[in-house]
Amino acid sequence: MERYVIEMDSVSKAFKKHRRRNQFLTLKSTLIRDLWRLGQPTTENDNLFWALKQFDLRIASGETVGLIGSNGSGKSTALKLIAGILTPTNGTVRVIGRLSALIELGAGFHPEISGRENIFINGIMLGLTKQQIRSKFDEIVDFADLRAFIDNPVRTYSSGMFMRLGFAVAVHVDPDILLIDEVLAVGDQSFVHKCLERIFDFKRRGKTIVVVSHDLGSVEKLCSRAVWLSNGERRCEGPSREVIGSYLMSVARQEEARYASEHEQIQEALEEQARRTVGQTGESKDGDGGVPEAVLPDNALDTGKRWGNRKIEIMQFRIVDSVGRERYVFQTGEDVTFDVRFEAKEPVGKAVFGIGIYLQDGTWCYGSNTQIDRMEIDEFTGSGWFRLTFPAMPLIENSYLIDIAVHAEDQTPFDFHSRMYRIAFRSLHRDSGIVRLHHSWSFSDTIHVRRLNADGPVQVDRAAEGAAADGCGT
Amino acid sequence: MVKSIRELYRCRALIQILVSRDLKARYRGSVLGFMWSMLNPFLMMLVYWLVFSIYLRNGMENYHVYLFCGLLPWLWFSASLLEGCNSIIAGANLVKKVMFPAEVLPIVVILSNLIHFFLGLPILAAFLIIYRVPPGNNLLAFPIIVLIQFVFTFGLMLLLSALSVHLRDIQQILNNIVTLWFFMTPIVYSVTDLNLESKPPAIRWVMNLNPMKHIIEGYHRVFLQHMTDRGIAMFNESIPWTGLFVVLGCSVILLAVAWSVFNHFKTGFSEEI
Repeated sequence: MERYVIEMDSVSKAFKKHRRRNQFLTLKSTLIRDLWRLGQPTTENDNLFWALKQFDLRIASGETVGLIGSNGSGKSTALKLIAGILTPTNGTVRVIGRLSALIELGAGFHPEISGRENIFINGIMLGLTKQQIRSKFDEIVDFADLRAFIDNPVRTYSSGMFMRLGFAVAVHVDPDILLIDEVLAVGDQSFVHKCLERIFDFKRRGKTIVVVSHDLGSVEKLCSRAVWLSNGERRCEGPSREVIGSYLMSVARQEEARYASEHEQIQEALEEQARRTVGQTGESKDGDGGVPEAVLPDNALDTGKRWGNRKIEIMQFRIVDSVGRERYVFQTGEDVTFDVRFEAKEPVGKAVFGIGIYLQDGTWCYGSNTQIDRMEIDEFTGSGWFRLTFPAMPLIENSYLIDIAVHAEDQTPFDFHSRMYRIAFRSLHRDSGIVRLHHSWSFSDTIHVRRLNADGPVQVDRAAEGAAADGCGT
Repeated sequence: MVKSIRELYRCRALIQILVSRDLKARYRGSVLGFMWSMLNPFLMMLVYWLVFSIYLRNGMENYHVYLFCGLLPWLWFSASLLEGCNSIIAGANLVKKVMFPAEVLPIVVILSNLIHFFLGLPILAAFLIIYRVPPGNNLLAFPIIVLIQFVFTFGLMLLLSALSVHLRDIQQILNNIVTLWFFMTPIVYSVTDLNLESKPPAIRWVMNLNPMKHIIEGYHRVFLQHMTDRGIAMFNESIPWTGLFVVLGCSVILLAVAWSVFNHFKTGFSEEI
């Protein structure tokens, strides 16, 4: 039988929405009554915010569990309830074993006294004895890499040094249960890695770890199990890889909706513009029909984003995935297809179609057109479409702007849509730059390499991500 | 209450290190350091001595010794009360982030101020030697009076610190109350100066309701047993035990009530601050 070291039984936690200060001071009697009531767990439902609702969680000894979810989903509240810093409004929390919470590093540090003395204070606060701290003192100082400054008052430390000292003490407490709340974002890269290593070390030694983090990559590596919270309720629970997969998909869907509605607005404006242009050219059939943008009042479209004589007009632009669904948020490595519909009102000679992809700051990530790709398109009239497919698009996590253009061979623009559309990529990887280049690592036999992964070696190819188990009934 | 005390005892290492943190941090950076613990009450005594002895012509012989003797324990009381009232709010980063009994915070305040009180005692001793006031057997009662004052002060602190988390106005008014309380207590004057015989007995009755009156008078008897004013020994009486024990009894009741109030509010601390 498994032994649970953390048990939460239908735990609920309510916070007051706003202070009641203005309800005081009406009458002495109300003052006393209200004051007394303040200390009690509030039960009336008005003015209450339920941060956690009927939450159950059982964690066996030696398990590593990640709590994930958007801001305000209740994951930090859950962690503080386990730590005993908050008391549940309803339900019970049971914890067996010595617990150390990396919730706020350096709690109890006093700025005026030295790092040395603060190590003792902090250590005792976290439950060590003076003797234990003395024996671990050098280790702590070396871990924080602060030997040169250990006798300076803590107020002279930089925030990074402060955090390092706090973390160093906290991880040397050697608890049975380690609670981590978003503290991996401190310090420089080398220190973060040192911390992660230490945490993995805890894991190897069979300690129980509960992590709250937005860094899903770390959660996936560290935790065998993940719990996804949403609005204070458990949305889904299971192997961390699957839960994170469905979480990412749900986040992507939300983003998708936002991007899609934005795209739709642009599309509607395009159509509106097209209608008006038709009306205009109908009146003066043989007129030169140029500069329509000067005549058109344009609300949804920033005129600076579109130019050209519209002899060939782009009527519609969509982005679709490998199964033909219209989408605007993709996982890095998915197939992406640009779908463009256009119309030529009169024969205008040979046309060139092109696209460009930019970062928000204007950095040009990629551009190409039919001319560059050595294609010649014969004169045509009426409507048509083209599709441009990027198999396994390697753009890394970011939001990008798209150019769509059709122009004559001599560069005369027919219709140029400059950075009118957006596409976003999401990824579990934390690589930097613009694209994720294909790569693999190898080392000489003298180098021992540990892959920081919960299950097996690092998976470079995340193509399966999009198809990650959707078993959570999202 | 017994359970709470046991819990506090378990945290003694934490209390000890927090007290020493407080003491170290207070004078860190100042040239005189710990000397300020002695100098501060001394300077304050000089202020009152100037006002009451020179300007208001209080005729008592060795008035400054008398003043200092009452001022030292009073400073322990008033500083503890003022700091302690704020201790939970000031310790927000601890209460919110670390699990530990919140009573630790007020107890750290009262203990570190007790140490300041003790650090002032050598100055008092120096005064007694310089002005040839020999020690008497009443001196043995000193620890008991300290204990009584401790229980009374701590009870009051627990109550105020818990309430002021929810009703921060308490802190503002407390300053004024402590000032008034100071003048209602025989520190800058002695009860005999008041000629109570010529005043309605109600006044004497009201004065006796002030626990600090009994405590401070206790200290006077302890240290100034053989001090004379124009040849008359002023405090050559035994300690007024009856009054003090009534104070102790009331203080224990106060402490029990305060602790249950504190425990009642305790769970809400981390959310309210």
